[in-house]
Amino acid sequence: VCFDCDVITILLTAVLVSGGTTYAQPRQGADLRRELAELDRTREDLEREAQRSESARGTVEMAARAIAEARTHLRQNQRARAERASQIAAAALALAAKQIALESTRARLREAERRASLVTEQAEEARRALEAALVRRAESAQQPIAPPAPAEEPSEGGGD
Amino acid sequence: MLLLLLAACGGTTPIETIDERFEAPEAHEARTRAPDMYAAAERAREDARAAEDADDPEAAADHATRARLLLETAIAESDRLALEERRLALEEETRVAEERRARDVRARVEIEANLARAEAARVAREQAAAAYANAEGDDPRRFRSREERDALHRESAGLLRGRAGLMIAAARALGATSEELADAERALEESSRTREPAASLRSAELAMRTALRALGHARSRLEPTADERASLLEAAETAGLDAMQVERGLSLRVPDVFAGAGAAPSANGRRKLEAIAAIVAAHPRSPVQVVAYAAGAPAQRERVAAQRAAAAARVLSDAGIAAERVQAQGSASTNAESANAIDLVFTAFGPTAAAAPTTPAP
Repeated sequence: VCFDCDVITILLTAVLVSGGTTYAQPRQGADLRRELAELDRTREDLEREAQRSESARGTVEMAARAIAEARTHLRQNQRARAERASQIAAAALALAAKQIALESTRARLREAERRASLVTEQAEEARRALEAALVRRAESAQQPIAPPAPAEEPSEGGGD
Repeated sequence: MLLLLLAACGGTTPIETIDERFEAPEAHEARTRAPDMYAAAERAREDARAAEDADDPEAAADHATRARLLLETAIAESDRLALEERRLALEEETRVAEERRARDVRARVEIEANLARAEAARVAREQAAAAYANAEGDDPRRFRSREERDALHRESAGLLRGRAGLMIAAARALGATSEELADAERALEESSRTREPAASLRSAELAMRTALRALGHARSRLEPTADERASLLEAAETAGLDAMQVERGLSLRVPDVFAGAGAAPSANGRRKLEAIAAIVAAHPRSPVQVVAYAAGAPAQRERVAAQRAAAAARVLSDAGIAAERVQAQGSASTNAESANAIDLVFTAFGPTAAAAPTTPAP
């Protein structure tokens, strides 16, 4: 499950499409039960992923309570209340998925910051090394044009 | 249910509280960055108001809870997008830094390789100069015995062959093909096989000159560099020539090319010119002015100087230097020191070229 796209898309589609219409026209009990089952499966998926994010963990627990609440209302044939609880569960799951994605993005950002710091340090080191080499080259190129050193006088009888 | 959800949220969720949350700066950010989610939250808030107007506080509270959750979702998405933008910007900066680092490393390695080559060549030239001094010294008494002379010849030949090997390696590094290096390698190999010390020394000199020409041929295909000027200076130093930076270029003084008042080079002067032709060949991109001098009355001096310059240019041409590279020029000026000398002016290495870097500054 990709928490950056798929789950959010699925949940938000449900939330955005159903939001605002259910209050006036509660769905049939069977439809609502199917949706609650779907939300519960999504909750199970998110529950595993939410172990890395404390805030998401709390939000998933909230969704679980809302799903349970909706089922209770449904059993009592209070479809409007069940519909609202279902919508709250969907919104909570959407938030949990987004919190997980946010945590994942934070982790990637930390890794990018760590790598950027490392590369910047390496680049500065390479620049310092290059500047030192440029200095050495400049010193080498600026050596004066001097006549060659006089040849050594051969000593009498050889023996260099 | 409301009490349960309120407990989970850690507080009450009346519409007034939600309105405050909608006015928060992060909510305004979310409206721009996550408009769909923000709109869903807005609709939930409208549902809450409608329920409140319908005097249904329980439904109002449920919709307010949903509105709050959706708004927090929009804010979380907004935060995530902001972090993602920052991460992408950071990765772009990292990529640029990596490219800069790689470029700097390449430039440093190239500079260090050039410096190492120059240092190796300098050492080789010093050794070769010492070998010349040993082998061509004009004091025969330095040799205590024939064995000692032979040993010096062998040593000198070995040093010259080492230098020829360096020249061949440098030419190969500059892109010379095996075919182009065949003559130099053959001469080097033949020199290695020659046993007789004096002959070995001569063949080693020949190998070095052939290698110098191969190096010059390889250089001719490349852009001129300040390293080439440094190489010319070092070659001049090795050959015992004074170098001087003049306005026209880098001038090498070759003394005692002529003897007396003659217009033709002496035998010794011809040998010098033939040896120096290898240096000219090794620096192929510069035109060369051959400036000769003479003594005597002004009219005669100018005439003889012009003849001398032409004669010296011919020697260079006979030694394989393209005639169009060489310009002969007699000079009217003279003094006792320069009367029998010539100046070889490499006009490509003027004062401006001396300051040109070999590697573009990053």
